Amino acid sequence: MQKIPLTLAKPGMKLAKAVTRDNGMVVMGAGMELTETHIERLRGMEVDRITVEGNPVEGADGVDTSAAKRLERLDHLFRRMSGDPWMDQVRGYLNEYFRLKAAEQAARAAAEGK
Amino acid sequence: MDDIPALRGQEAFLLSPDKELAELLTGLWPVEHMRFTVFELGRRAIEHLFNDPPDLLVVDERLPDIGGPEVASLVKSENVYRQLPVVLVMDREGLDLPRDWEQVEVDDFLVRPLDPKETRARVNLTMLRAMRALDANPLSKLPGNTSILQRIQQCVDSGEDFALAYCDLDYFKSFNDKYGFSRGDEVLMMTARVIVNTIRTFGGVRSFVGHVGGDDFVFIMPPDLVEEACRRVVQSFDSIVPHFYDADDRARGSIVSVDRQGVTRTFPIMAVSIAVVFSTGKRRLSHAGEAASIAMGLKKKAKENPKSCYVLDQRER
Amino acid sequence: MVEQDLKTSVKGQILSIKDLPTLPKVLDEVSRLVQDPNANTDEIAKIISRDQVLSAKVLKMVNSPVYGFPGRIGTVQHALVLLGFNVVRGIIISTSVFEMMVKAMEGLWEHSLGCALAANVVAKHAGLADPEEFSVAGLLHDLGKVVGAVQLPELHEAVAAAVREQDLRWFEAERAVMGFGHDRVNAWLARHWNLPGNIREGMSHHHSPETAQLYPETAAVVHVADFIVRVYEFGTGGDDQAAPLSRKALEVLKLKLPDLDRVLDEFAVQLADVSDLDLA
Repeated sequence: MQKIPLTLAKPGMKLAKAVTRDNGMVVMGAGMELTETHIERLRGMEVDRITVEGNPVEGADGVDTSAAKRLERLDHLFRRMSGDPWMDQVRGYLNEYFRLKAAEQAARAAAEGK
Repeated sequence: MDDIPALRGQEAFLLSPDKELAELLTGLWPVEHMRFTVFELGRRAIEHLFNDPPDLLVVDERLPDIGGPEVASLVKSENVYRQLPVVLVMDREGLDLPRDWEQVEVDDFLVRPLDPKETRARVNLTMLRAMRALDANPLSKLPGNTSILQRIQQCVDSGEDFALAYCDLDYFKSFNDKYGFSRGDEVLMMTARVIVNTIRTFGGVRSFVGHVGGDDFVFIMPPDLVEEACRRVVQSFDSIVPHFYDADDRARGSIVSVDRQGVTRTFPIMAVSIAVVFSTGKRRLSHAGEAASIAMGLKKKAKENPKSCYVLDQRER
Repeated sequence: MVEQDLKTSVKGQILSIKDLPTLPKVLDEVSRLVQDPNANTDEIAKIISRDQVLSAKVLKMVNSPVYGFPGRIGTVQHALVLLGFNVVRGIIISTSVFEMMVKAMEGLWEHSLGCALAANVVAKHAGLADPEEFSVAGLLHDLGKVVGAVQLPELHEAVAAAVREQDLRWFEAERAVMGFGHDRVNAWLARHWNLPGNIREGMSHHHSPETAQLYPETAAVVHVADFIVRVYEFGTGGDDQAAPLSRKALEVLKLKLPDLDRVLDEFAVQLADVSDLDLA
């Protein structure tokens, strides 16, 4: 799931978490598939950000826990650590972990017809 | 300048935007006797007050952000800071306002314009008075036996409905024996805070917490809330007390010791036992002593259970 | 020796900190709750335990000798029970906001929160009791950086420059510029504030967990947690590099690399949950 600014919301995205008012009242439930009308309504209520399923937005504000992104970044993160056999092993492990996770996530997204 | 040996090396906080007041006060004592730290805003001072309480607090009603009486209440309502003397500085017009001195918990007040000699004498007196042994328990600073009995008698005399709870700690002695009195004192201080804060979560009700001595505490609450209060005290105490044990005892859930005869004895982790006596409806207490004897019977029952528990007086009320 | 002089002078300045500020967003939210007469103390506890400065203040206060049991209390929940609403409110109204570098500080806040969550997950999977206490150690592991930023802004800026110009990790840059790192600063703070020993060692030994004497597990948990948060790049500890992962730390926790699968899985889920606090 991904937390995105409302400005990047598009019809077809599904709410991963309910949108609630300050007092806790649920305005739109989790699982709701957003239409243009829904997005308008949220805009009218001055909702700032929503959490949607999957990772439909590239490089949006907020956490991108998508495995694909994590995999991509490993090179950069480990840039000064080549040559140490143990750290190479650690990096290899993470590479494998995120590769499998990314494949898992891609398969799930495909199954949901995105 | 009078030199009172007991009043050397004192730290004072002045909460006031008034530079003249600050000048006047700091000029009244040599800095080795009384050193003032001045805060022009009340809110900045609060954390410092709590972390590093001074020996004297002078609060000016002219504080722009927080009321002087409010600061005083904040301080006086916590047992650990209760003995801190608080002096309120007011403007003459302030005297015209109706004031409930029972609510405004200051030890003395000064009215502008301040006369230097009088100010110094009154503040010295206030500080000495605070230093005299109060009825407060020397460890927890909670009201002691005399105040407790007085309060119970007040409740009885007023005819109000109330519940009276007697708490003590099981296996406290074995804890002291193994870990020493210093750590035992720590547990007592923690217990005092747990009871005080738990009672306080029931906002706006008439209540009282006293420390008889050792591991004996007393609290008074409305009868319909006392069971919930007991439940919360038990829960908080049980959750926190293991942290006062060393890791191995904590993991085992008990202390193992060998006594002088060479016998190995096992003692469980300390537990709190509470006996609750009611004074309501058909069953009203006629005097303070009566409560204690009823409580004794209930306490025995509570102590039969090695775990923390509370026993309520089940007689018809 | 110049290095010793610098350390002594820095220590003095660090320990003399009077006002430790926090992020405006956090303070706004918790202040609002504290003024509300119907506020749920659990909600207040939750916000406090996600903020390193408020948590530190609360733990420092409850472990003060004034309360009578220094060094005993290691979780925000227990601290709140023992301090009571009045005192907690006092702490909150006494706290000011960060005026400078808020963006950079926000990154550090997120990173610390991420480390708290990761520490909780790691502790659970390592089968350790009281995962909450490990959380706190994780939350506070970079407090020395915050205090440094407030008390020694020039040194802080020099470290930041070294990170940028020499592509160092923040910890390496600290050692290059000052001769010692925030782990040392953490040790001073934790001792001065009477924080319980396990939290102190978690804070002071997360970069060298093999040297932790009394609480090797706490140091190991925070070390591994810090490593994990960096892999996920949740917030920033001042640089964008992975941290070295100590084999010994994993051994102490009886974890092998493959065991981290479940840790990473659960951590990713928790991260998604927490971004609701809108610290991003």
